Amino acid sequence: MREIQKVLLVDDDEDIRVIGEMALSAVGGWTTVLARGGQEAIEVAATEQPDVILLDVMMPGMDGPTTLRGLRERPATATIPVVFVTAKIQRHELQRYRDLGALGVIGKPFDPMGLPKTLRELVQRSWAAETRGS
Amino acid sequence: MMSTDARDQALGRLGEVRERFAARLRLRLAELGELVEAAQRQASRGQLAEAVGAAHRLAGTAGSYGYVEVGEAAAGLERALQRIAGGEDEWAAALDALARARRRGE
Repeated sequence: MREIQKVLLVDDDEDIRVIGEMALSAVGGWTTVLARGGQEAIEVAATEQPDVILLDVMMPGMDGPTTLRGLRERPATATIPVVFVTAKIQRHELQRYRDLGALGVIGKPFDPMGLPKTLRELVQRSWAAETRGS
Repeated sequence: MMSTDARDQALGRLGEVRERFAARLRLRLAELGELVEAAQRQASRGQLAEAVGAAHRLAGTAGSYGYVEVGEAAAGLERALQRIAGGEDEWAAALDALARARRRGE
């Protein structure tokens, strides 16, 4: 089965980047690259080609949805799966994020020991659907 | 499935980052308090937006480090500040939530 190798975590909060990086690398066993905001995320994603991007929704400057649109507009990053991370998940927002092209949403706060499992399930479900559709 | 060794190592690293956050949490709560007090004093939209942002970030972060009650109090503060931004007089609720976050963060 295909496995995640590299994850890009995007969050303006340094403490979230620290615990997220710990969870994804030490618990998930993945290479983790970080970005502090939307513009940096687009640049890092193009260079690093992660298997999935964990993207904070509320960030100053370029927010998560705007960053996702930027990623989708560029051929180098157009197909990289994106999972939003947000403290506010309401049903109508969940649908809006999916309509924007996000794979899913992970809530904040998150359990650092459980984050990789949740992310793996979301990504592998999407890969399995792609395989069935191709 | 993680091996026991890998899980122990991960838990060790988690303990380290939690310890570092505990020291930073006091600072973050102090900064949040200053932002809320400045917003109340000046009642400017900019100050209020800054306080809402800081409360929102702490709401998402504290719980991820195990400080669930601090995170919940910060989320309550964020909601109260948003109602204030909408024109309601919710300062008592905001200050109460701030005090709760500070107590839980000690």
